[in-house]
Amino acid sequence: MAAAMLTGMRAPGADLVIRGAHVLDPHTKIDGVHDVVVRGGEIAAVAAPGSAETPPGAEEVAGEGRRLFPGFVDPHVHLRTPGHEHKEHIETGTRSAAAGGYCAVVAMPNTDPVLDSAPLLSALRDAAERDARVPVGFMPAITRGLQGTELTEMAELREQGAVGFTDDGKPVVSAGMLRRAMRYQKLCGGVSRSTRRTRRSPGAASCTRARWRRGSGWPGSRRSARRSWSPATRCSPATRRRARTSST
Amino acid sequence: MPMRHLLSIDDLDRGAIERILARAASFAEVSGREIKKLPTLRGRRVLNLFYENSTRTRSSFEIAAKTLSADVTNFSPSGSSVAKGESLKDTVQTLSAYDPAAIVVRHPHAGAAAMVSRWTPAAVVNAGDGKHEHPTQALLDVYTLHRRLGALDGKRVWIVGDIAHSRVARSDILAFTKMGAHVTVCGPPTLIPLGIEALGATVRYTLDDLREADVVYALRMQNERMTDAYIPSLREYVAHYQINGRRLGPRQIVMHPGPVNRGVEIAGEVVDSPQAVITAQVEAGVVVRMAVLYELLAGARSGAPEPTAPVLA
Repeated sequence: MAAAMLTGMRAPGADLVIRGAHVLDPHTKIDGVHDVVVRGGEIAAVAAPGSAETPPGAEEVAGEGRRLFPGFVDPHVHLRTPGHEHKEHIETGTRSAAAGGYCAVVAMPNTDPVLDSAPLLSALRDAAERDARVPVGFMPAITRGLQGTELTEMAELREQGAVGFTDDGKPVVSAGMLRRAMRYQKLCGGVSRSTRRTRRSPGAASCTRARWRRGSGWPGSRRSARRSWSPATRCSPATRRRARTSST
Repeated sequence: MPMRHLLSIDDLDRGAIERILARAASFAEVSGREIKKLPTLRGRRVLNLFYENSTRTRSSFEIAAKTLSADVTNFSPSGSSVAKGESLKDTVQTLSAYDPAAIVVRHPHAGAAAMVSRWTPAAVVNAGDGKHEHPTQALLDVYTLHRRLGALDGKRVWIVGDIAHSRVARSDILAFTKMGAHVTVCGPPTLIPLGIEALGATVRYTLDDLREADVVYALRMQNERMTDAYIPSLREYVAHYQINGRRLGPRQIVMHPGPVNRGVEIAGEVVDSPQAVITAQVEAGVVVRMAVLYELLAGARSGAPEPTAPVLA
């Protein structure tokens, strides 16, 4: 996730030396006691305990007997702005993120109104610039109003700083729609995320011979669509029943 | 060997296309005369069987046939027994009883013209079948470009817009590549069919390199063929894909099959600019369709049924 898409990073990066903490980072396979030097908010060095020099002006933190982790990123949070500020808003959500060790969060679009337009995204990014305590990314909806029928203006949203697209807890209604959304994103280099399976079968297919399909413009049956609709994957009994009756 | 039907550009080789273009050029001279009439098809019947709306194709086929002195009957499903439930096959067989020399078919389903050709002894011209092909449009496009550019070898043609729902795009890709041009298709990823490269086109999703094109072919957003929402909005389409003065270079030729949605796929100022050859395309429609009818009918024996003959001899 490009840092440029996150908003709310007003504080200048700190200069720190954290001494003697037990550093854990599964990604780089670090698991042991080290000194960590932070310069301008970025990790500058991981050194043997007691060996790191303190740069001038840097703050020293005693880490002995403590654990030190990479900053966490939560890619699925609900900041509830706009529309449900009585539950949560940008400031409270990002404060609790900071308190829990999260250095960035990505907000979901199931707000009221739904985050599905560039003007709303722009307003939210302005609000985050003002109120957020950790950097925030916004993930607008794949379909308008999360209704699963019309694509959002993803190219424009991307230009406005969308970090990706999701219909959040709602499944994209049909596999065809989800596929269209993913194809459309070639235009804007985005990523989409569906946290639920699609609800409908891939739709009618009238031919499977690729050459004829391309030439004739008839709808085809794609292997990817059939695979995504395997009844073996997790779905409710109702959709499994539908799968059985609609499979051809 | 003479052609029996014109169903797809796939059935023509470069030589056949060039023969039709040369014939069309000779007919262009007739169109310039005060008395626009040739006796070539006198006494032959041509049936226009149009199951879909059309302005250019239907009228130009009618004018082409009349210029060659054929007798033209127009047939449309509204106001006919089709409205009473008559099938395409029965309609074609009924009309074939009138012994037409040629049937010009437009139908909303791919493959309709090929089926009609099996049910009638007449020569069948595909005037558009669903999203499949529109071969006479492609021929008149090649003819128009030939007049402007000479040979198409090595020329770069960009076809921009709704490729997925366009029979013109499918026929044009085949025709332009057969004539030696490089074809690039460009549009929203949702409107570019997967695997269209197999027809010989390169795929782009942005107009960033549009300036490399010698010819820019804009396609209409075919709302009537869209069963679902393929793009978020026409506004976003216009922002990324409209052919306008800002994106075009001064030497590029602009084509459009019509009907034009001004301000959507193409800006009004481009339609009216000298770069656009849209009216020349319409003009070419008559002479190219005359040439096609001539190819199919002149010299061919009239009305002899050949049930075992291949679709294209």
